[in-house]
Amino acid sequence: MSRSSYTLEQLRNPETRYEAFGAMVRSLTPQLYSQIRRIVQYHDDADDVLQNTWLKAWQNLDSFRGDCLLTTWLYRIALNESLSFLQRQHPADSLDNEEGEAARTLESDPYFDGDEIELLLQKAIATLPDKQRIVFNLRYFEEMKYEHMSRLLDTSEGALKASYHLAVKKIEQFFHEAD
Amino acid sequence: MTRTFNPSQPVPTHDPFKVPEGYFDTFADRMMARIAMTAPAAPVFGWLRWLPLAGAACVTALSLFFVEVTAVQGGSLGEASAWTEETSGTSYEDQAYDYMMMANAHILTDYESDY
Repeated sequence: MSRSSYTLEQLRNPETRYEAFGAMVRSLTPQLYSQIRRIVQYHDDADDVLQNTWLKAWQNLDSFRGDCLLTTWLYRIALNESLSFLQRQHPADSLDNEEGEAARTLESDPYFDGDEIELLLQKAIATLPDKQRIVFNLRYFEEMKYEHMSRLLDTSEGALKASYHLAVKKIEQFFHEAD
Repeated sequence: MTRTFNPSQPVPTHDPFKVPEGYFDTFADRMMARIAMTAPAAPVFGWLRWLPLAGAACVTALSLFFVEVTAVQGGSLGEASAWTEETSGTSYEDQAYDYMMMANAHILTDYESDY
């Protein structure tokens, strides 16, 4: 029978680590997936990034010092993996190409079930630079406080506010041009 | 219909991102099967992180050793070493690189001149 709960002690103990980690995967996968999916947008990509996130967490479990919440640590790994994925996807290509690719794929994605406005918003988000995209998602959809975001992304609150403001302006402009 | 984006309006509660049926039910088992084949990074291997630094220290020590040898030989065997350099075209520095099995010693030279 699989374990349904886990503690940090169990995760640190080699005897109980595997089972406790399994319980953690079962418990936190939906919220990590949701976070990753908002950034990478497509299910197959989110599945890859999610697996890499858990793999990194498993491989680096001993380096978790406990100076933040375990969920915060996992969140940070997920964000870094998402960012790495985006950077691998389009290392140096133009925004026009990214936008076209996102629009083409999202509309035909069987796992995207958004209305016209939601589709337009996702298209607009896809045009944002990678880090701006992450900041926008955390702030707009998850309503994360800048203070928390600052610790998570190791970036000053001022820079995050500026980044979010720029992202909003770009999205407003995108909607304006699409109208 | 006018389509506008207003960030001060409430965030839509509808999540347009769907997952294949049963995805979350099977994910943990698939993930743990993959993890079972991967050993976690054990602290016992922590010393491996110092390996590159130790390598660099060895190279530096060897370089200093050969510089020292060159200086000592330069005093008593100055003429002989000059002859060796002229005839064979191999400097002590090159010999040091040979000893360290660094066939592409010019790469180091280029690196030094670039930075």
